[in-house]
Amino acid sequence: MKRWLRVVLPSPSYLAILVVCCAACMAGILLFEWQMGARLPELRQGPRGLVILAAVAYGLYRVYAFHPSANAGYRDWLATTPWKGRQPLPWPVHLVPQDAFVLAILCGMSWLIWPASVLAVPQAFLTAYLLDLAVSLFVTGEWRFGYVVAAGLGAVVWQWQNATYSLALGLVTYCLAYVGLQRSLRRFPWNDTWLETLKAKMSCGVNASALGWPFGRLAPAIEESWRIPLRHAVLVSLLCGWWVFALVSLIPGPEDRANAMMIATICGMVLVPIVRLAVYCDGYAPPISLGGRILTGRWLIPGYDQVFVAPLLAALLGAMLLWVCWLYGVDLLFGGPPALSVSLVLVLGMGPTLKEWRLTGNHRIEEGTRRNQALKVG
Amino acid sequence: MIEVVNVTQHYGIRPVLKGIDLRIERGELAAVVGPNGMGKTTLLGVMGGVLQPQHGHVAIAGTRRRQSVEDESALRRLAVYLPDHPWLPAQRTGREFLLTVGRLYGVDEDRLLEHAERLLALFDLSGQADGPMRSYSSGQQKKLALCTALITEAPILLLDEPFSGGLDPAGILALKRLLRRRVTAQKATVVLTSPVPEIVEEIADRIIVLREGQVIAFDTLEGLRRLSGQNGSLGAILERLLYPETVRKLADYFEGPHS
Repeated sequence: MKRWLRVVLPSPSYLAILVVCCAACMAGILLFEWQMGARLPELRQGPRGLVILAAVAYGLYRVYAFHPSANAGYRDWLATTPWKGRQPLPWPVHLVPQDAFVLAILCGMSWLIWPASVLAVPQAFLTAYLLDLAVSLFVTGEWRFGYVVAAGLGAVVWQWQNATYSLALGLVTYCLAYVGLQRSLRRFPWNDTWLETLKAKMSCGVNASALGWPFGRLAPAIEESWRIPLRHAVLVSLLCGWWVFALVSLIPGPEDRANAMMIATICGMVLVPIVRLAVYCDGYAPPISLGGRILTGRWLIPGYDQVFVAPLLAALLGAMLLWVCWLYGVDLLFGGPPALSVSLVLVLGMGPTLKEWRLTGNHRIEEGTRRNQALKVG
Repeated sequence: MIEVVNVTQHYGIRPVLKGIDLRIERGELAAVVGPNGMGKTTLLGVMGGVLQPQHGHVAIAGTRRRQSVEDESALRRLAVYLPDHPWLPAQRTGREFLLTVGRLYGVDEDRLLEHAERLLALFDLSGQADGPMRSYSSGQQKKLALCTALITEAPILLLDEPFSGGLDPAGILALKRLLRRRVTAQKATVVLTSPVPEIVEEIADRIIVLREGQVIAFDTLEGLRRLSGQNGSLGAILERLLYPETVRKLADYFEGPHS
């Protein structure tokens, strides 16, 4: 039994810490309740929260500690063995009966503390597990399934209050994630992933802010990795809209929900375009001053002013969509996410790309604001 | 080879460069001279791709700057621009920084290590090379900035006031000889600015004289002598070319009864 369980269990010391913490909390609460002569549900939220936290930690641990993509040493070792992606991994990333056993223990602890809503434990576990698995799918280049799992995770969160539906959606998402996991393992050793490219660049020391001026701006290899393909821009934006909808749906009360959605939509429509503009313009000044533009009659400089098009369109189209929703009486909860997604698509996917802008824009290249820890010579 | 074609540049209303046309050949060291605020740094910035001129264009090895992503990427590998006041990462060591820049320019690793060592030794930086750059004196920082431009092995060097900024006589000597060798032995193209006529006279193949944003002369020292009718040093030639009014007034003054 012990050997059977050790396949998935974390270090015994972590388990001991969890059990001792829960037991100590519970003993204190029971003692207090005995003295008061009544059950105090509010006090029991603390140890129950600990159990749910343990379920989240276990969910994250099950992918992080077992997936070769998360552990460079394990991955390198695996690459030296005759293991092929179609074979089972030495230690399983997918769910196994031992996981059910661990969850049953955690559920039992939760039930002892507070019998209602025991299902929150598997919900928390599944959410954390799927989140980590989605990350691993992106990291290993299986991004299609990564998006599917992330979208499914949104559905799990959306139905969080209804534990049965949420768990059912979680299980469906897990089935899809399982297929994605198998596909990603078959692609081992994942040499072509963006993470590997990024790591290679980092190890090369290609970090613009660490190169000062002018090399941080003008060195040839600096601009290589700055590009978000349109399909990713669209999918990320849709996912963001969906996730905002799912999270805001959890807020009780229609007014609070509407307020939260308004804040999220405004952030997406205003702040994100401003961030894009700041990233593009930091160190890339207009070729002539505003006074120069006015006095020389060059009101528009297409080569420079192109930088404003995407952020302005993002804000305008987002606002227009909201206005149309308001005009037709559509609830902000349903109107906000599409407006947010449209804004994000434009901000992330519309040209010029950062690389095109920096290499071919009509601007004046300057030191920029990243001068921390920099020495000015002369 | 660098071509500057009808370049006009202004930041506000007043043009800093007015219709500049230049052609600097491969294996040539050209020096830009002129009074302060006459567009020397701007001209070098336009060549270096830091500025996009309002009119005209710059072409390097036949490729226009900022025309396409691919071309500009290739040009950045080809031409290195070093401003008069570069910024260095204070926490990094000099050697670390040199190697990082060399790698960015795709210099072969073995050659890079060996070249870094030689450059550090040449500029008397070997002792400090493994310490953080914040501990360097301003002259040592200037030397290191120059070393970063040199380690790239780029065939075109655009250096704004490389001889100023606290460079000691040994550093000036090393840089002069090194640039000349790059030009003669490796057919590199070097364009630099300098306020010191003696240095320019010694190392430049041709001299670009700028006044009020225009090229008033672009020739060898001999050519400038012919143009100015002055057989003396570059300093004397520049006096004649850049400040003829002052020279005439001085002559008038000295010929006066109380001189």
